[in-house]
Amino acid sequence: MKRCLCALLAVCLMLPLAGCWNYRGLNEMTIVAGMAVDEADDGQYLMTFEVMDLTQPTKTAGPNSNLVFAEGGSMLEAIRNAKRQLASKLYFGNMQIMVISQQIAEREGLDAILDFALRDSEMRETMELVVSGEETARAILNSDQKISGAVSYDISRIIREDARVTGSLYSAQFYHIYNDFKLPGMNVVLPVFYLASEPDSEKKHVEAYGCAVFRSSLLAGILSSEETKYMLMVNGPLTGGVLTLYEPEITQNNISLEIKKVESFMSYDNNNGKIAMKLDIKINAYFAEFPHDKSEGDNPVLDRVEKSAEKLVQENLRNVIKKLQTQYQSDALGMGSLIYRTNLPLWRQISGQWNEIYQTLPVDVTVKIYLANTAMVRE
Amino acid sequence: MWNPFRPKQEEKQKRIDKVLNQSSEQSEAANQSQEEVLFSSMEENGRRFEELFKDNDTIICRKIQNAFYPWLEYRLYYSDGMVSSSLLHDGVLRPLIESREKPGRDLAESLSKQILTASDIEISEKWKDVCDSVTYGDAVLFLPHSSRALILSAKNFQLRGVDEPENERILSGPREGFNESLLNNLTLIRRRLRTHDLKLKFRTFGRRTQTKACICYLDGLVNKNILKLLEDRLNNIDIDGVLDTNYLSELMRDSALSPFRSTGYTERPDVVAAKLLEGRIAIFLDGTPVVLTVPYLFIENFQSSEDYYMNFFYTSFSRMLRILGFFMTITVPGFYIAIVAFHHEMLPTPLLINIASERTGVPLPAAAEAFIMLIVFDILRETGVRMPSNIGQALSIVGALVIGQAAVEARLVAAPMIIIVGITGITALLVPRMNAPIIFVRIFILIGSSIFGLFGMMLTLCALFIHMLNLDSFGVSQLTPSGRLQFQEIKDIVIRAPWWTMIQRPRKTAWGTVRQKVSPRTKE
Repeated sequence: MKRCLCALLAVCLMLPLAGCWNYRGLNEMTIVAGMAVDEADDGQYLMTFEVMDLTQPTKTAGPNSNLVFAEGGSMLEAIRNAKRQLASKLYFGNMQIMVISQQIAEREGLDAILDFALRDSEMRETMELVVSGEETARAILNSDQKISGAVSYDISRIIREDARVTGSLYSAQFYHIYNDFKLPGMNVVLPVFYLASEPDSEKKHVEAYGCAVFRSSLLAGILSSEETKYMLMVNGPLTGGVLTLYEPEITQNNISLEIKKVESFMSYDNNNGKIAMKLDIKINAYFAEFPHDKSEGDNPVLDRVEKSAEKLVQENLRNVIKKLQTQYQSDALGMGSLIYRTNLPLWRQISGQWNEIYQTLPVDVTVKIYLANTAMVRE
Repeated sequence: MWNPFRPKQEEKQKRIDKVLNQSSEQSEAANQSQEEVLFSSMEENGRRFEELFKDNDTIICRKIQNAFYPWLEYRLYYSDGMVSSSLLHDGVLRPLIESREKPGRDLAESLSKQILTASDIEISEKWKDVCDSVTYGDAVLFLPHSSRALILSAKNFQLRGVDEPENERILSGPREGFNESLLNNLTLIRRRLRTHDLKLKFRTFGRRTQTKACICYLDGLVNKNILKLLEDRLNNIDIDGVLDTNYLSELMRDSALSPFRSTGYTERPDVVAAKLLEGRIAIFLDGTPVVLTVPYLFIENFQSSEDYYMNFFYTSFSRMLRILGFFMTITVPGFYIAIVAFHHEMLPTPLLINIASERTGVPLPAAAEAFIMLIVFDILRETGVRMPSNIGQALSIVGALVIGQAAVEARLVAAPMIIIVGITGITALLVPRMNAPIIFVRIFILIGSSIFGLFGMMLTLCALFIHMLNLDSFGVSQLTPSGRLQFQEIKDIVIRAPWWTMIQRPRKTAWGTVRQKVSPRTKE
């Protein structure tokens, strides 16, 4: 009897150690696929939830989603208000994206949103944060076209694929963003989505449009897809993307190179308080299109393509950095954090005036491109 | 170990003693009459015999008189239907009646030596022998003016052939199977192990059934401690009847309340021979084709005789499947409930949506659904076992269509649950030897995970493993590996290693361990 009681006690004592243990059936909850945060006219939050519609049998119709709107003074209040129109509780465990309107990003910043998402135990740390390129955030979730049944799931798949394949947007998983947000000398970058209209049709579909750069917690500006690619060469794992050149002396057509791998190395020189950044980029690229009439395997031709591509990348990269430094004043490439990580005493000296130093920081960009897999036969 | 019966132990023992005393008084009275010796008069012996077998109309009395010496009268008793009449006619009746030979002074001796041509004749003076032999199909011949009787072997029963056992079918390998005759079964073993090392010791079980049993082992290989333990336990058995070896198995097993087996069973002579060669002991019982083997290691649940008759790649794979099947069949329902009801975050989103949309409109919670469907599956299975094969088809239609499809379409049961129950049922069939533990363990884990989720599942699995590691069979730990963990110890566990690497016998069961002194392939 005693041993039996001891065993029972041990089991009960172990319970609090092991996560959540409340029974909740799958049919007793409303699965939220994505969420959009807007500001209502009265200054409250207007939250839009994309919830899965499970009344249709999946066999015939496939999954579908509905939108639920709710207002509230805080995000949690809005979520509780949304519950009033739903039979079962909202479930955020499989929420994939959170769309933030430009309005909120510009005026209120990310503080409240990041804090709430981190504190809430249900939301995934791997969900993607997205800035709406439209007037409101809910417009994105209201898109006509759904491939996988919910716009949110489409967007999260686009982000996951595109960050690797086209290099035109930045995958901003929540835990990653929160980390950047708290790191000194680093500014947050989020992907931007907008509704693109289709030719010969009224319909619109979601499409990635570059990325939004933040200054501390407020939105500073938006970089286009093309600019995003150059930014990602420095601070992201870029494993895809295309470089398109025009070299009239070799061929009249455009030459396109497919980026395979980018290695970037950032360093700085501290010359008596004068800080200068150095950026080395090494790109491995393939020929994607090279319709030329020069003899194949001609080394000077390849060299010239390499040279002109290097020049192209260098110029564009300089422009992007210039734009970030002067126009947006956002250290999205994490130059400050480099100093913070490698030389803490120096950072302590300069962190006060870092914003001013950053705007006039000289950046020396060197680019080296290696062409491989040319699909050419040496003569 | 903690024993729920302990506080009542003394009281229980008293009750047992009381019952035993009563019954032993009765049987003593019966034994006393059997200890008696025969009378010296044939008429008196006949009267006594008829008295003992009163109201048994199958006992036939044949009075015989020699044609040439009319004073030579005999009485022959036998049980109708159990003796061969041609054997009796040629070997006993004809010689007795037609013999011109004048028997010598010692009638019993001269009859058995000179006159009777029956092959197996025994001379006895005890009523016990006389009664036992008549009940087992022998004939008894009472002689005039003699206190000795001749017991003539003329057994002839209807027996099944040595067909392949129904529930141990294999693709290739020997196809013989045991039948209900003890001697026939022993013959099948002796044919396979032609060595003087093979020991076959008879004993009897059951005060009323007087069932013959045989303990069989290879003297050079058997572990004497296990043999001693087995004999001690067999000596303690005192029961009125044993009809199958499972009686013995339950009466002498190590952990009485465990659902896991602690004795092996088989109907195949090749399996018994292989187990004897690994130093195990086999217990044959008359009247049943099922032979017990001890000690029983846990891995024997997953072994099949076919593993050794076919290519080792193929059989290693199928053994892994069986082990996987065991774990799947006990954990799949519990795991599903834990995921669906507690840890939704673990499901990939498309799967979550699929399951959730299947589950909308289903009235019962997933855990209750799982219990009901598992019980329904077991009902179907149990019905199918004892169904004549032509009704079995109707059963499968009812099972598959009515319960499967219709229930899902009517939204009484969610479709994923049908899949889960299907997987559980199919994988259970991979390990037919584990049917008892599987049912209980599966429900046990399901209860754990429907209360505490994955935590509960792990908790119940831990309890299961602790229990499994504690299992013993005749003093041998069933699951814990013995001694050092070397290749020779694990060659036949998860994989079935090729024969040339099976250099040693299992250390746990066999006394001498070297199986191959020089293996043809490891020599070089």
